[in-house]
Amino acid sequence: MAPADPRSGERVLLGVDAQAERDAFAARGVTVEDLEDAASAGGADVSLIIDACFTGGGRDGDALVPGVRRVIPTSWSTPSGVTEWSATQPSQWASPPGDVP
Amino acid sequence: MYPDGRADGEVTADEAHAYVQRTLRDLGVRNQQPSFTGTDRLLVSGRLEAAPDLHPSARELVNRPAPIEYGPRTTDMRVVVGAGALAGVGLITALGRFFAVNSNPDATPETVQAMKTVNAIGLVSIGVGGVAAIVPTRPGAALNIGGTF
Repeated sequence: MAPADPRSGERVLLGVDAQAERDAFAARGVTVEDLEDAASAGGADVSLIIDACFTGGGRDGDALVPGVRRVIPTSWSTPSGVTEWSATQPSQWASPPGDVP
Repeated sequence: MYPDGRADGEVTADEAHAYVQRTLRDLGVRNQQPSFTGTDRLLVSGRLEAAPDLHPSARELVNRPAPIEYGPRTTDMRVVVGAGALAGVGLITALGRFFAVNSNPDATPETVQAMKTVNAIGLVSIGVGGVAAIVPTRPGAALNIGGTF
């Protein structure tokens, strides 16, 4: 699961122990930017395939963190040497085949 | 290999992305388009395989209607419980008022009107509770960590 951090707007990959609470939300995740920086730090070519969207919404359309307005990431930088795919455009909602709204 | 858009025996990241976009468009998926950013690079070269026939199996999969479940999701239970409680309170109040007025031979027109109002509120509450219980919903959790998001 990869929403945008409601505070910073950064794209976040959530851990399995993420909590649907405003203060603890991003603490159990890692930003895509940090991940790409770490992976490419040694000069390696990095391909990152993210099977997720960043709308901050669940499959039922509700916000992942109740009471917190969803943030749609509008721009980000990709480090040199990094190739990145994600499942959707920033404002689109990712879902399995046959379940596309 | 099928994403080889330039037909030069090499597939780059940009060509692979273009292939995926084109395929999704062909399959009628228009509201979920992958995003590609960063460095274009050579992914594969040499002996490339032929493209798979995505039709009709992929079409069938993509166009399969989402399952509809009747009844509330767990996250909606509070709404249903609230509506049900409202309906129950409305019904009890309306019935109580009805019997109280009917058993009173000195009931004034204002009292009778108040009874009718309370009865109407009770009926609306029952309707809201009933609709909330049977409205079709799609499955899903508020925080589905195990999903493909």
